[in-house]
Amino acid sequence: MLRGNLSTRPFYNERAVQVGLAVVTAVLAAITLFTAWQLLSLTAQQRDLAGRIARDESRANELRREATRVRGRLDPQLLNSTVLATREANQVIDARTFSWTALFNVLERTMPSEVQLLSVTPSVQNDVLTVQLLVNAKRVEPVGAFMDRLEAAGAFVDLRSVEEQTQEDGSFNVVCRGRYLGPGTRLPVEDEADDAAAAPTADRSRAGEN
Amino acid sequence: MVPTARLIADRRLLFSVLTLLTVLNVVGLIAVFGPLRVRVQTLAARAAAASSVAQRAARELNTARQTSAGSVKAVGDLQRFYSEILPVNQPASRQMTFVRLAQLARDVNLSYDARRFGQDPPEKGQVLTRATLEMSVYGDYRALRQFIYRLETGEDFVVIRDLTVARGSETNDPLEAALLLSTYFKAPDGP
Repeated sequence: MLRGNLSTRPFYNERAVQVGLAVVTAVLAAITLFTAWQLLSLTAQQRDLAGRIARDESRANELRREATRVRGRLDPQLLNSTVLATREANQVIDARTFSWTALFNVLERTMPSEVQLLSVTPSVQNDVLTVQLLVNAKRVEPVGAFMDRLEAAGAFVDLRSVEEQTQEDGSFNVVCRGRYLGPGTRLPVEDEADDAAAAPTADRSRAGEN
Repeated sequence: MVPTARLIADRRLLFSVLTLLTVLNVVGLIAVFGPLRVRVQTLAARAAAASSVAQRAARELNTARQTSAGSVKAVGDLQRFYSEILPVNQPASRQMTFVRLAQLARDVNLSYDARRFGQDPPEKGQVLTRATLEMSVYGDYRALRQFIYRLETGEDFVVIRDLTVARGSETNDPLEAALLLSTYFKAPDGP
């Protein structure tokens, strides 16, 4: 039995080589396609981005020029005087819209019968509406109750007595000052009942009335 | 084992094409693809910045237009306020403080003995002259409330700046209320 290969071109498994080469070719073709697609895609992106940048920069320049033109048409002196005049007008309007009727309503609702209102002075500072009340009473306790009720009604906060002076008749004049929030709400039922026992009736002419 | 040289020799064309493709891929990846990718990233960042700059410029323009429109509107509103809400001039304010407030007090059964009129010129940067009236009125509490209510709800632009209430020593004495009232008008030489 002959064991040597006497062929001048020895046999080898061509199919295996062809399969191997086919696989290599397929992989290489896929890589090539991917690379080509990436190149095309990146080139398109580059073109698109460059276009967007040019458009945006041109738009920004145009907008800035237009803004400069619009600002240039404004007279800074007139603008400043308008701002000041508007502020002044708003202050005057704020003063006008302060409702004394609403304030009197809440004072009537909360004032004990022993307390007499002498003066009311509202003032606005830094957008905070402060009301100063000057009241007279024979004792200070009703004045304390009055301030408690005003705060409980939601009409005032930070209400405090800032000055107290004894009068010749032995009564006290007390200056109370606090931040006024508005007419507030009705008193709770027990307070109203308590008040009804001590306070005059609805026609309430306590603000200095005899 | 089949010699590689023979394998290549048997398929020279195919191997040549595969080699060329491999070289092209390697060169493409290293020399073109990498730098192009970096360039695209840089451009993307620049595009984002340019877009942001354009948006900022649009906002600037919008603000400028709003300021311009707001300024025109504010001037119109102010002129309307000066001419339709406030007394147009000093005689109109005098008519209000001197005549109509006296009529109003009379209408609600309040009497008064003295009235004091004043006029504060506008402060620096302001345009409104303040006409003030101090008056002490006498009457009952209801009349005073009615007077205040009608001042607040009437057409005349009157501001109650201060109110002081006092009672007489006798039981039947009327209530006395000192009122500090103001109205405003545009100074003739104002803007």
